[in-house]
Amino acid sequence: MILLQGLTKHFGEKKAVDNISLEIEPGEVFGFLGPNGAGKSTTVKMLAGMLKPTAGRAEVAGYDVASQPLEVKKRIGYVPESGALFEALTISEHLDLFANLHHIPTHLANRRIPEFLNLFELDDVKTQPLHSLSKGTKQKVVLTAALLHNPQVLFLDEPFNGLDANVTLTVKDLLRRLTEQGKTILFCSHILEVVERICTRIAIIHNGHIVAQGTSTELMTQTSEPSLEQAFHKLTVTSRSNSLTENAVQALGEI
Amino acid sequence: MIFSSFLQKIDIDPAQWTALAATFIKSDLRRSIASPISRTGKSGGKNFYILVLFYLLLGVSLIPFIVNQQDLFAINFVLLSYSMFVVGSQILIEYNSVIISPEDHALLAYLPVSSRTFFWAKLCNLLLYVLTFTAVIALPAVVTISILHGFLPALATGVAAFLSNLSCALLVVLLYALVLDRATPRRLQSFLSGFQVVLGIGIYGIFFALSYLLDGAIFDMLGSQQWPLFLPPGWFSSYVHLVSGHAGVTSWLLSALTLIWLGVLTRLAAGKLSLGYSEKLGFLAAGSYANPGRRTAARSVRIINATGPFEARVVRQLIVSQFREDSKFKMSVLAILPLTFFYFLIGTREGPLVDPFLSPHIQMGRSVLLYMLIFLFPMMLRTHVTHSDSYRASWAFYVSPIDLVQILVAEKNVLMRYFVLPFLGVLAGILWFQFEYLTHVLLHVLVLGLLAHLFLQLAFMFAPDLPFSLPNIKGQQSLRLISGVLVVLVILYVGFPFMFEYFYPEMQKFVLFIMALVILNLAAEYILRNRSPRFLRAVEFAD
Repeated sequence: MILLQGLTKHFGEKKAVDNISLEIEPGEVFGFLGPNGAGKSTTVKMLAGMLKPTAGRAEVAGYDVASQPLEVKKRIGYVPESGALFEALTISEHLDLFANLHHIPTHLANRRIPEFLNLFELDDVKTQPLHSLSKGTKQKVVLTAALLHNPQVLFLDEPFNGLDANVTLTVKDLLRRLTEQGKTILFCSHILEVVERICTRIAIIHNGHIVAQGTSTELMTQTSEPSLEQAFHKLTVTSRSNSLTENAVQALGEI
Repeated sequence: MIFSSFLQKIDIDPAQWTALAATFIKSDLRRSIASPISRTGKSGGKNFYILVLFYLLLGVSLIPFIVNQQDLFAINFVLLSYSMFVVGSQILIEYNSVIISPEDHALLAYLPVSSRTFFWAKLCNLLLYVLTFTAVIALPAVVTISILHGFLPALATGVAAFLSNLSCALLVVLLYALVLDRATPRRLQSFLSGFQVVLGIGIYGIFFALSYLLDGAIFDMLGSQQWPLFLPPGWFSSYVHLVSGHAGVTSWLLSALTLIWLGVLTRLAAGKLSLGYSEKLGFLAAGSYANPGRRTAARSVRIINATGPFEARVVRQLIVSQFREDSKFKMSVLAILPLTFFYFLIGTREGPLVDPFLSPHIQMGRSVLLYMLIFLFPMMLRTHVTHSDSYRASWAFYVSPIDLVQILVAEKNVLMRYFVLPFLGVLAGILWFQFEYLTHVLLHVLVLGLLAHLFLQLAFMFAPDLPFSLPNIKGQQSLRLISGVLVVLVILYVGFPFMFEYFYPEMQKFVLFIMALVILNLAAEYILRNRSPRFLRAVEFAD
């Protein structure tokens, strides 16, 4: 369903993503882990057609992201990390916009939008402009917009940003049901506990390279660590980090 | 239905086009008319109407020329040059928010929207923008022409105004896009900054040239000269000949040329008003192409070595860093330079400035522009210093243990120290050559400096905006500038002649005047620094 072959992205001299290869099967929830600036979001942006790869290729739902971007975009739902929205629009207007951009027939849109508004308890605020809403409410709108056209593939970049515990549970349940329907999910997050619980396989990216991949158990075995958190730490943190922490703490003590 | 079929034939998705065009227009209208992000919570509705009223007044100012002139070609040439200048400079001032927003890429790049559909939706937005400004600028002229010359010449004038302004808008879009295309990422920022200045010189240069022409016998010249035919306003002006019934071959050729010109510009812009362009702007805004390397290290050293009160350090460092890294801010600041240069030129065109100590009955004339700069220059800078795409980062001011009023004071002082004082120095240099006595120069510059400082203090009192804490809203910067210009014009045309006549001739009165100014400066500083509750209430973080 998702195929990456030597995918590379340079920003000037900086190699944000360097020669990544992956294959994600239909119905998988694939976790993409990495420290800040590791290249997770850049990879997802390339897959979503937002950035052009410097080298290599990628396929989503059988279409090449570079040469058939529109076909890819018709089949994906994307929750960006930034959660960017047309802030001047109301929730209803924003969702109508997305329905139109995805060519969802009116009768379907009229059925789906109210269902999601109900699910996320957005009914009361649907006529309010987005700029006036809380971060969590905006994130619910972003999630709804990503799901509205019933995409085959979901790219979720920190999808639980700003959501409270109850809504997080609702979204997890929703994702589980969607994968049961055969949808493929690429899931980027810093919350290791969530990744461990919902992802079938995980890749860890560091400095633009994939440093390990497999199930959470396989990653723990590969690193001989008892938890995913420690495995992640071992793979992505330099050995100097402890002494650097010590130096910082000492510096705080200086007058 | 027919329209949808037409759109499909030219490979535009009708549903997406309608949805996007409506969204762009709604967003613009709500941002500028209903201004949702208002620091004080007040509706920004008035802002839009004041801006429209101002441009309408600009249009009205042309009526005397139109009434006194029979040559419709000449009238059109002046009107079109004028409105093209206004639309061009409007786009230059508003820059990214008018042409294309860096946010467009983040919002739309992952959606199945073809670049053609995006372009035509964006073009529709641009058309509406140009149509709005054309309508308010050209309406008084069109109505006057319809009364004096009939319906058809008025219609031709209206169409010519709209199409010429559209071509001007497209040309600005293309010039920016051309720069984005050609420059290497690393040099893009500095290249664009330079380009902004060059473009500014071009636009203001045209205005400067026009101001010369309007002084003289432009209408007679246009009747006998051929040079207007080589300029775009001249091409579009030929429409009035077509409706007059006695158009020559030249008029037909020029009219055809306008269509070709528009076609070429639209065709070229099609590849430029794109999400890719938005992406590049996004990178620029985010400074993604910047190479931190050595400069970051050097900067860190400067922060540590900074001296003076913390608030002053913060503001100084912030303005310097933003100027270096935020290309939009840098370009906005650099765009002021050509304006300043041409105001200087126009202000001194009627000969040397008169020494007000020797000739107190001064007619302000064009020298008003030179004096206007003293107020306008810091005001424009203040507008740019307070508005930024990174405005949300201003939360840092509110959670830090610093005195917000001191930040305001520091902001004012940075503008005064680094911009107004050097400007006064240059002015003093010019006056030294024009006035007979050096003491007159120094005293005059002292008065101007005290007035400029007082003006800044009042501006900060009534709009206590922290550095880079306000979002860039379409039309808002122009409006602030226009409002400021109106206030300054009143000061200059009413206050200055009074000041020269009553305070300058007698030493005793002059000394008292200087003392009054100093006291006013000190009082304003006291009020500003002592956290007047009214001002502080307005200073709160609004995301």
